[in-house]
Amino acid sequence: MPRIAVIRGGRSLEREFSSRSGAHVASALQQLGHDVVELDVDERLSPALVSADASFIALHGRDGEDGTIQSILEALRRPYTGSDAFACQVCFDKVLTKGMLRRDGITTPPSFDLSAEAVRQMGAGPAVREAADHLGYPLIVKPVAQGSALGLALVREPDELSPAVMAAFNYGDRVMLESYVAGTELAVSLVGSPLRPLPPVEVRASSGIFDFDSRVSPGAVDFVVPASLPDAVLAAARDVAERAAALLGMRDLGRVDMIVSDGEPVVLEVNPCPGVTESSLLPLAVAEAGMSFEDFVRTVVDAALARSPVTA
Amino acid sequence: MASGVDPYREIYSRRTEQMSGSEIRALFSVLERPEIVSLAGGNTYTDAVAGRVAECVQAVLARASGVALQYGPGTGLLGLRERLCDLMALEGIDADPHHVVVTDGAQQGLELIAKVFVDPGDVILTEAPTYVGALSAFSSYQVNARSVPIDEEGLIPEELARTIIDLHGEGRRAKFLYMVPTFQNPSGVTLTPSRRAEILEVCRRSDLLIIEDNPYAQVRFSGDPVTPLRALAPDQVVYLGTLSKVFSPGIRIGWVLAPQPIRERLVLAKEAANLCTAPFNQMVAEEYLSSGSTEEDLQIVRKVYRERCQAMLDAIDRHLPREVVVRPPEGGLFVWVTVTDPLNTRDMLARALRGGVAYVPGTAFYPVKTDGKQSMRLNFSYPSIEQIEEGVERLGRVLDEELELGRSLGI
Repeated sequence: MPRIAVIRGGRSLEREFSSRSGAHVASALQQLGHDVVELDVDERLSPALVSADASFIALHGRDGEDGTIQSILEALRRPYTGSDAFACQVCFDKVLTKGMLRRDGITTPPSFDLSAEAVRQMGAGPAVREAADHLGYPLIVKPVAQGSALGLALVREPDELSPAVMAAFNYGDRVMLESYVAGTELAVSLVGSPLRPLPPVEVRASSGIFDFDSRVSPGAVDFVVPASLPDAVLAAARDVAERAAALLGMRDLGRVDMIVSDGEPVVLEVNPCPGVTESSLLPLAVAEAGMSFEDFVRTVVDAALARSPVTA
Repeated sequence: MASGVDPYREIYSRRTEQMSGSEIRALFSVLERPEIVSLAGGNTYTDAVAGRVAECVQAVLARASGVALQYGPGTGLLGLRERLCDLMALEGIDADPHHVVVTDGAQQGLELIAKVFVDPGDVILTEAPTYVGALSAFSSYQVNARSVPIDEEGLIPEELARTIIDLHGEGRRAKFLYMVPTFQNPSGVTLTPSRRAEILEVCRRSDLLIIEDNPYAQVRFSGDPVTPLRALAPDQVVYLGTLSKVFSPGIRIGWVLAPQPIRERLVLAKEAANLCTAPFNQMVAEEYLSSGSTEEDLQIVRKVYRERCQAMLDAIDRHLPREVVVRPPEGGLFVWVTVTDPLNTRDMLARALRGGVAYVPGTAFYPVKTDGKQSMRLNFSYPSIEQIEEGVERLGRVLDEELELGRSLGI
């Protein structure tokens, strides 16, 4: 059986989730009979990747979802799971992602973004309030390049705006203000080659917002599948997810998060390397689709191995 | 409808609802990374005792392996309890070994105390800020924790009295007052002798039991010792001690010294929890305390902490903005730093971790999580002097960036 490197842990603030995703995948690969080596991100990583037949990237956030690891593997011409470096760079940047979605007619909430440099050195502080006034309250503030809803805040009134923006800048140098869309939150996972949408999972956060706090607090969020929406709406959600994934060049696996408002799916963000822990959304959708987690891992790894040898 | 993630959620007890997850804990996963300087932990300097552990283990196995490898009494082994009383005597506490229960660290003592005294919804009083582990132990018993502020002299007696009166007005009574009077965690503040007398008087008048958590008394590195509350008022105080700062946190030996009726219930609760603290660990600890080297080792530990604390204070002086307020401690493991508007230490933690340094935000130490946003706890006992310098320098850069951003945003 091929030797598979599982890259997990990493340097990002999502290390905890990545470690759990990696352990889950490694266990499945071992059950499938693979020779598995688990690797963290350090100076020994690149040499170690050469000895594997393929790499399963279970990193979230920085390095794993921003194209860094993918670029290394492409330079080494080693096959790996998931989207390529370019697609990852686009998907990790919410501004680029939303821009591409809009150009293709996929609905995503109106937004503005500003860099810390613009605020600090170009007097753009007042522009934050201008943008918020234009979008209206409540609104969402979040870092442009961050996962797991880290730094995300629901801003209900003007007094909450500046602290939320300042908090979001702690996670990255660019911050987005986005219109808040009320509705039913759905996560549509996609698996396969080509990517096919799985049954949407409905996300019900007791706080009303699926932020980082609710992701780490037991019982703070309920995932419901099948989602409690009409079949036609769920079909539309799957269709939008498939279109978004194709447009952004995602492959093997991914997740598109959206809000269904007045029956229309509104895409919030996309995840080229979504969480696959035992309690993550994607494995839940996989199970609902009648697949085992091992089936899912086999599908993804086989797709990577089929790309060997990698060419420029 | 299938509900995902946790198929058991319908059968959990209500008390688990108060066991909230922690964003801070999840972020601290990156502390495993070598590039992060952690000023966040509470680990102790164990090099002084590390060389003696093997001798103690061998002595225990040679002397009494039959006892060490078996179950033991829920009270703890008498030999260890006698040595613990010797240790408390150094602080002026006249303790009877038969009033002591050995626990798995003082943390288990807190759990047992909550188990023995607290029904769901009961009010308890704590200092604000207070030890985060105590809040965790108490909250799992569904307490209503009310906090009483401290200042540079420790818990404020007038505030305590006012809180008791307020509770009386609500028709309620607190079950106990939990406090860390000496080198308080996280603030490092020590309750002054005059305040000790006042607090005891307020509690005596209100018939309010005090839980005195005293983990740091032996690691005083400057100033004069202060008499524990238990030594001043044996019947008003349940005392918690630990060998974590004397010997090692890894040995997990703590104890509770309590009036006899309370002690009897604690023993029952202890036996229900885990039968007994590992006899092997108890005997190794007893062996160490009997070896005659404890004071010698503690002198090394105090010297190391004095040097590291000073290094941290010097680094803070060099690298942190002038606006920060720092209370230099005379012992313990922590420096408590308070920053100014618009800084929020909880929000800032992400920037700090990205900048390669970790601390514990002040919000962790308050029952109400919106309190403490302008404070942070820094640990000096575990990092080396070089790491302290590097960590504080990085923290200074983080604070500078934050302040500049706040100004630019007009906050």
